[in-house]
Amino acid sequence: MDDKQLERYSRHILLPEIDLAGQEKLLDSQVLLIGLGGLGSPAALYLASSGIGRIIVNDHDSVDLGNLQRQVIHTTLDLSRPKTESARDHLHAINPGLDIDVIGHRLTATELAHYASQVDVVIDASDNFITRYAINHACVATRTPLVWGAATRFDGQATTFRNDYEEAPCLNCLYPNQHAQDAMGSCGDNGVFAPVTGIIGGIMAAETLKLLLGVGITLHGRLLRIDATALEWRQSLFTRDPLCESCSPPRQAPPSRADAK
Amino acid sequence: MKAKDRRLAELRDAIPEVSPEEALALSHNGAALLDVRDTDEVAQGSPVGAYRLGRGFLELRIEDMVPDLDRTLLVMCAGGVRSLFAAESLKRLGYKDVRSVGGGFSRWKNQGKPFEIPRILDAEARERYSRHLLMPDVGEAGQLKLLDSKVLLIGAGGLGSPAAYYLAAAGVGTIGLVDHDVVDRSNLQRQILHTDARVGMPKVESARVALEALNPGIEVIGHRTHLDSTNVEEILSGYDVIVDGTDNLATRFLINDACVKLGKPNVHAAVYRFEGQITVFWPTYDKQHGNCYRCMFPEPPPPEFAPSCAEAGVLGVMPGIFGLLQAIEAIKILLDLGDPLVGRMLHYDALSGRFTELKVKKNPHCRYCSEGAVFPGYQDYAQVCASNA
Ligand SMILES: [Zn+2]
Ligand SMILES: [Zn+2]
Repeated sequence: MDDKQLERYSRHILLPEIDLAGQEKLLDSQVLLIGLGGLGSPAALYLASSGIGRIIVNDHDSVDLGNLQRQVIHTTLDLSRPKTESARDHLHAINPGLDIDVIGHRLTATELAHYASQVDVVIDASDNFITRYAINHACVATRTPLVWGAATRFDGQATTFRNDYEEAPCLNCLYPNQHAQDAMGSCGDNGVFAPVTGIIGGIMAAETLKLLLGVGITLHGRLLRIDATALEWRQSLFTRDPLCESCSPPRQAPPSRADAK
Repeated sequence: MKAKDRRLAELRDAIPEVSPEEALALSHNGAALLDVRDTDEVAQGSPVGAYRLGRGFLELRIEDMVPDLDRTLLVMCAGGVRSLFAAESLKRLGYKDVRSVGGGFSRWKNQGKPFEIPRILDAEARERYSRHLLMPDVGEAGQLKLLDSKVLLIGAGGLGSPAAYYLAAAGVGTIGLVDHDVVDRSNLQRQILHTDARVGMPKVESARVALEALNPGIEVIGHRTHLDSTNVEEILSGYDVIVDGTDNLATRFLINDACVKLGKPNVHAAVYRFEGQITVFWPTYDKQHGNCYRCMFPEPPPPEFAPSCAEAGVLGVMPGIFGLLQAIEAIKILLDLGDPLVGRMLHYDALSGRFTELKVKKNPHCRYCSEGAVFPGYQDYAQVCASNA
């Protein structure tokens, strides 16, 4: 690390749980962030400011005016630009030293598995179920840890799927396909309170940092939910469904890059 | 006879018509006057006190406005034709007494009945805030309220960055920022308002660039100063909600004292290493439980007990999470929505991934906020070190 980097990350290096070694680890880490909307905006900004060395950002949309009520990574000057480009510019502006790779199309199942196997953590900040299950499938298959969140109206939720563990539950264990749509509406239909997406994105960034640093206890097997009207947080526990269509029988594939660390 | 005219004749038979005079009298007696014209027509004027709901969303939203199916509905359009179609649809929905205002708004206006130019969001604002307009708890009235609101952020650093971003995105009309510092490279690990190219620029200026790029429709006011006993009241008195994101203990007391004196809600947060806490100090919100900072800490600690002046480490995203929670509380207070964190302190430990809530008690003998307390005046304490945000 050069002097500028030591200065930039000084508040991390002062923490014994991170220190120089931890910051080096972050700089050597790679994540795939899918979705640059309400959840992805704050997650990306904080992962970049924290010094994650390589961030692959994926979104096939372009910026529209209705996004700017909560998607703070974009600006009014970015209207109709691809979200990936707008995000890359902002991330480079706050931290020019990072590798920001952009993928501006919807990833196929094969591509998802390919990128998931390359990175330490996948962050699902998407806004629809088809994508969420496709990401889950790729992360289960490649045994990549998956940080997950969702928000609608005044409610938000987040968890972490430890696909690198032997017996970890997956998204389909938590929300079996057919029930998922009922459990969470989308913010396009129902509206969303701007900062609720922000707080969930922030929790997702914290989970990612913990996974990369190997500190603390992740939300493995725990679903954290916020009701913003009362500002109350609740936690519910969940376990693997032995009959889950997505993750049973238990994983055979070798763990991805994260486990090797 | 055209199909349209045949249909109109049927509707005229089925829907009772009232004159503007009768409509005004009925509305004084509890009937609901409903203006079903389009947004651009309403913008030119609409009866005082009317519910405004265009025909496009009439059936979907009317029950949010008029839940009582027994209440008389007086439907008005521009000339008294569209109101007949709307009235019929409302009858089918189950409203028992629905009438049409004959001659519509043009006759209402010509006969000198009271109308107003309502404040409404323009087309661009409707699109920008569409995700708020979809929520009945916010809606157009709530969004207009936010645009009329003023929030002061003290500190444009770790907590102030996300708070300012989300208040600006949500459309809080005026955002004030108090900060004396310039952007330093070591800030960029967590203070997402600022960029590498703006190192060395005053933080309030850097913040203005970021916030105006996100939302040019709001006003950003920079106060590049330190708060002290001579300016605190003047600066704070222009705002509806105060968000305390300061890293300075002496300033924290000053903000508290001014907020208590002025009766302003004080959304307070602090972060340290992997944890943080947030509460709302607002004695006048809830006389029984509403407390102030001095209920917990009557005076700053003596120097020998003050925390170290050395900079403390902090996980980059911690001030992010707490600044966001501050934004949530500030907007809830502005919209008078839900329960603010008054008398409650929320604590989050990122390492365990747990949120816990503690009750905080009002000190019945607090010199500042207790019943009948006489304001003791502002104190300029010497620099007392605290953990940095
Ligand atoms: Zn499963
Ligand atoms: Zn008090």
